[in-house]
Formats: sequence, C-alpha cells, structure tokens
Amino acid sequence: MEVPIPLEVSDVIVSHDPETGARRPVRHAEARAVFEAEPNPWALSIIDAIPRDGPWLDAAAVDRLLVRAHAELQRLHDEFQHPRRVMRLLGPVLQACRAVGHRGPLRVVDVGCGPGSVVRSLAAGGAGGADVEWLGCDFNTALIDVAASAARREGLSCRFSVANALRLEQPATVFLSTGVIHHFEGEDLGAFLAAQRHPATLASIHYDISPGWAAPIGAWLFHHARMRTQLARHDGIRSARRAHSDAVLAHAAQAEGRTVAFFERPSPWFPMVRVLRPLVVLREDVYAPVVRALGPSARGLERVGVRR
Amino acid sequence: MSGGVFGVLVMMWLLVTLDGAFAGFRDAAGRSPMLRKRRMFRRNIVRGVGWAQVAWCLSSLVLGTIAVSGVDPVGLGASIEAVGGAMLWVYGPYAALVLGALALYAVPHPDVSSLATVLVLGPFTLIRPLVVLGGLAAGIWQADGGTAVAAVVGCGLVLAVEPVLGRRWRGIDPVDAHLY
Repeated sequence: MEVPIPLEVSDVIVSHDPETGARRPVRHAEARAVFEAEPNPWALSIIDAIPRDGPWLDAAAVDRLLVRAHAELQRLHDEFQHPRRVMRLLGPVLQACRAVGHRGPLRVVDVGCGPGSVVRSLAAGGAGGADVEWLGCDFNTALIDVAASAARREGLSCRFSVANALRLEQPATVFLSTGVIHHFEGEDLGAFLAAQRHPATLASIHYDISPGWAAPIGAWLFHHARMRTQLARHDGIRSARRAHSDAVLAHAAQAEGRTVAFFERPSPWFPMVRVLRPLVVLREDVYAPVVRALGPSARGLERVGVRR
Repeated sequence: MSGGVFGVLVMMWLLVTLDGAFAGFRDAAGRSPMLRKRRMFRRNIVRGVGWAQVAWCLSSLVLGTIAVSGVDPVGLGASIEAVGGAMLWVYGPYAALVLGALALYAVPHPDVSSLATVLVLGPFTLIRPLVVLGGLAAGIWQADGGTAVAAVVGCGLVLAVEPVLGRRWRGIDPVDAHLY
C-alpha cells in the first residue's frame, strides 16, 4: 500500500505554474480539502487564519506569513551554524572546481533560496574567493524581494532572482539547497537531480534533514522552542517526517559520470548535532580534487556509488 | 535585614535580571532576516532587563506592603529566607546549566555548539515555564501567606516579561525588524 506523502501547509497555500513560474491564486476550499482528507486540524486552523480575498487566499497575507516563517527558520539555521557547515564543504568543492580547470567565474546557485540567508552568509564570509558568483533563486517574489533588499542593505555582492534555478541561461557550477529536496518525491526527485547534470555543473550539494529516530523528536522540540508562527512549527515538524533516507537520495542521484556521496553524516547513536546532512553529487573528475581539498575532513565524505 | 535574607534577595534579583536578558534575546531572535543583528539583540536585551526590573520592583512592592502591614519582621525575614532559598535550589542549577551551555556554545566547532543547543539551550527554553512554576511550588511549600503571595506575583511577572516584549513587534515588517 502506498503511504500518502504528508504535505506541508506551505506546499498548499502557494502555487506556481511549473513552466512559467507565474504565481497562481489558491482557493481556500481547495487548500482546506488537502488537510481535511488526512484529517489535520492543526493545518486547517493555519489555513483558516489566513485572510481571504473572496474564495481565494490573500496572496499578500500568504507572503507575509512566509517571510515571518522563513525569518524564524533562519534563526534555527543560525543557531545550528548552518552557513559555517556549508562552507566547510563548499570551500573545498570550489577549490576542486578550480583544480579541474574550470574557466571563468564559479557560479554557486542556491535553489529555493527563500530570503537568501545561506547565500548572503556565504557571500558575507568571503571564503569562496573573488571568482565566485553567488545567486539565489526562488519562485516566490516576496521572499526574493526580502533577500535582495537584505543583501543591498548589507552591502553584499550576491544576486537574487525569481527564476527556476534549473533553467538559467548560464548554468550553475555548483547547485546548493537547504531543506528543498524533501519536497520532491519519486520521479520528481529524480528529475530534479537529473536537471542538474549539465556538463558545466561540477557539483550539487543538497542539505536536508537527516531522517532517523531523533529527527521527529528534535523537530518537535526545536520548532516549539524556537518558532512562533504555527506555519513554521507545523511545516518544520512535517519536514522531519518527509525527509528522504540516504538510500533513496543515493538511488535518485546516481548517474553515469557522477559520484554520489554524503558529507559528515550524523552518528546513528547521537544524530542530533547534525540535523542537516548534505547529499553531494560531483562530476566524476571533481571527486578526487575535493577529497584532496578537504584534507583531514575528507574522512567525513562517504562515497556511496558510481555507475560507469 | 539579616545577611541570609540579603543574600537570598540579591541572588533572586540577579536571576530575575539574567532571565530578563535572555527573554529579551529570545524575543528578538527569529524576527529579522538580516545577517547582522547584534544591535537589535543588544537593544532587546536591555529592554528585557528593564522589564525584569519592573517585575522585580512590583514584587518588592508586594513584599514591602506585607512588611509594613504589621507582621513580625523577624518572622517575615525567616520566611523570605526559607522561600527564596527553596526557589534558588531550583533556579540556581537551571541558570548554571544554561550558562555552562552558553560557554560550550562559544566553542568554534559547529558540532560542539550544536551539542550545547541540542542538550540544553533548546530543551531548557521549552521547560522554562515549568522550572519557574517548579521553583514557585518549592517556595510555597516553605511559605506562609504573605511571602507566598509575593512569590506568586514575582513568578507571574517574570513569565510575563517575554509576552510583554513580544507585543511591540506587531505590524513591524521583518525586513525592518533589525532597526527596532
């Protein structure tokens, strides 16, 4: 029997055209119907609290809610030092890209960047080098406006765009994401990863919740201790339930000419200190330079499969 | 005022002030998407400490009213010492653990700082209201009528600091939150 995917409220209250990326209005009744079927009174109360414009959810109110929820999520990332963790891996990956003879700027694209806190933190740290271009992409205009406005005020050189990160005119050298891949299931997950296998793309690094016995407990605890909006609490807890296992991610990512690995996976006995672990997909020739660039930290890079 | 009573009151004041500072930090955390928020946190910590002083003063007012209402001053002093002492047995270790975890959080390795967050800073934030009430219960166990009232008022006001601070964010755009 197929287990139904537990959707998050933010999956339902926002809709974009998959082809054009244009925002589509969402009917209150249709959003409700998704969670009435579960049934999920918590999600229903969140949806009911959103102001309406006739039968539609008020898009501006939804955006305000998303911005607030993302600010709260950023607090959690800050507390768990997520940008620092990303740089521990991304820095050596960028070095490896140079080592394999990449010409021109190294374009790091954050897929589904939200208000861009990861990209902004990395750009602010300056650890990537002068040849790195930082770009954050998201379908949500309000979140990209926040990201761009914050970057401007902070004097950062990163850019943000309302765009499909996988269909950019100039492809990414490195794709990056945080908390995005659990939104894709089955064939969609495979297609999402396959779209990143452009010859110019040397690496993809996707951080997501590491599933396990501690994930639901930790998610419940921290989303209640640190979040204020019910949306952030509900969806954060749901994310932990939806997170893909290493096996699912590895299977979806395997492809000819690509090396799949995980970096700094949490210990099965005490997984709580590494809430997010990255799926790392490297163009095959980049793997060895990454190992060299990581130095002693390379023992944290666990290669899980190569198909020739 | 005996040395014991003075010591208990000073310790309680320090803990209330510290709790106000933490309440101020927590209230500001997660409000702004900006990276640099130190000034916002500093301002809000000062506000938290300020509201904690209001809570302290109002509790002291209750205690002062009891003191001038004709009760035996020696008995009142002994009661304050007993109640405050019992409460400190609960609040003292809690505060020591949180401060210890903060020291651990300062270690510049994400796994070590996450350990402090996972084991103490996160869960202890969640149980804080229970700890406040636990300390109150321990105090009331030792109390007569007057000091029990003061303890209840004091704990209620300490718990009210964060919600009071939170009221000021209504209507503020998160993008501008760091300016407040």
